[in-house]
Amino acid sequence: MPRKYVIGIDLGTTNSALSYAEVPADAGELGPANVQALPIPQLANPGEVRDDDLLPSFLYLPGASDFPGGSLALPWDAERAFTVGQLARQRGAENAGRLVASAKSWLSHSGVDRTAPLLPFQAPEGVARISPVEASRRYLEHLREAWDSKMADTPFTAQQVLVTVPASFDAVARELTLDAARLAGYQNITLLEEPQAAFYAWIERHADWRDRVRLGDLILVVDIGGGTTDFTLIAVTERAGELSLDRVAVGEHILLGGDNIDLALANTVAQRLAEKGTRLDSRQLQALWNNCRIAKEKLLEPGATAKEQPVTILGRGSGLVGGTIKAKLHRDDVDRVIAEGFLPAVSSAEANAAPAF
Amino acid sequence: MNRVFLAFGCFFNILFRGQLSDAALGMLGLSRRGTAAATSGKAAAPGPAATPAPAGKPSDGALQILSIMQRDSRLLDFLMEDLTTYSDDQIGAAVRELHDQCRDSVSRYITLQPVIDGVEGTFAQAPSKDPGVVKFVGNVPAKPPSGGTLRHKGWRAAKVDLPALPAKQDATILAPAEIEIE
Repeated sequence: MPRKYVIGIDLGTTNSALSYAEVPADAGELGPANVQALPIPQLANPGEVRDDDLLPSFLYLPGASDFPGGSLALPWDAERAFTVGQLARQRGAENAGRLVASAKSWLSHSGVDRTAPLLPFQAPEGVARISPVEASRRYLEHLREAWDSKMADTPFTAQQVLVTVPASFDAVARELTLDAARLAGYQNITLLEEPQAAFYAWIERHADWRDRVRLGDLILVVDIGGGTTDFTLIAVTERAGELSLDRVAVGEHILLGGDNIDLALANTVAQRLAEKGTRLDSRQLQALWNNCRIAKEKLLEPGATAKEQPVTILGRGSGLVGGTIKAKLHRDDVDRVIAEGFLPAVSSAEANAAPAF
Repeated sequence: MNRVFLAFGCFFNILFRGQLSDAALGMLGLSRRGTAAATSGKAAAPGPAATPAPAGKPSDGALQILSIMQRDSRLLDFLMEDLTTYSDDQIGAAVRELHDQCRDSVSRYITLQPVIDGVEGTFAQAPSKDPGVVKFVGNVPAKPPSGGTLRHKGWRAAKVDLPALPAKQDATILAPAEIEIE
């Protein structure tokens, strides 16, 4: 069967996604590709399947008292006993002992046996664990099943599949990613480095890219994800008279991302509340974390002029209004936390003198 | 009938007819398998007649939407709370939070549209004489007029997309109790 589609899979630490483009019938004709995201069916609530462009990379391994029987059914599997995606993340926030998260970070951790059953890391006694490879397999399998369910005429195994990996992944991590994909029933797999994929996307959107970059330019690709950040340097060189791109340097895989920025903001607000005598429990802190993210996005919107955003934490239990805590997130807080805490501007002398961790 | 008659009656019923008579069933407080399934409308295991079979009652949809609004925005917690002692400020802060979440939740399942898509305070045609669709107020003449000043656009559910309720779930439980393990 001729391959009709090229499928691109971003197997992320916090979120995964699948996009695809039709292979042009005339291979000589290189026009702009029409890249579309596949809406991925997943459980949003027990018994409720919802389509979303993103599949949160979370896996929940339920016990008997977590969900009503049969409520984890997917359109392609009525008997499913675990769940991947939004519901997994949501329920996992309530019961962390059964949540597998950040499996991708574990895949790159050379200090453990990545094929051994390790996760959930905080699983209590009696909860069966799985390996990071197995968790990755389940995310990849869910994506394949989603494709086969939405595009039944063009089966997944007959298409060309690209799976992205961080440029900082070592050979073992890359091989384990391929293993997970093969175990998930993938064929025709090619691994692609994430910064290169990001750069190809930039090229695809700018037909005049050759006019925008010059020979000798260094391009920095900054990928700040939910829980991880990667910096990559790409040099513009020449090959056979044409401009070409070479990856020249890759930073260490940093286990900090947008979620950490939001958590730092939440801690700033929590500290101000503590100074006034209000203490927050762990669930309220989680709600504050989420509200700070939303407030931060509003403050940083292009064209936004507000100096502060209200952040409200509703009371627990039935005393919703009575227990409501009001706080504010200031634009100054956001600028300070991001600039000083995460992306400080330093001179190159300072940067070179800083100890390497 | 006393017990001896009942016992012999049942014996002969089963021996010659292969089933118990209606009178015997009544005496023993049982119902037939076939009728139980017909009244419940679902393939439910037959139990003693005392237990009500879980049927798709009309009120289930109402309970479901309340349950969804509680789950997504804690609307019931808000409605059932005694607000008399709280300041407007405090109520306002909670309501802002609740309002966004509740509206997003309802919109996901029910698409709401106005009955008359016009500007309140200007003239609007009545699309129908049906009192369920248009309510006339003010100096209403004997014969219903064709239109007047629009005071409320009305609400219509254009699309209802609720997830199917699992068969065994008790629709009367709108939100489970929550117990934390330290």
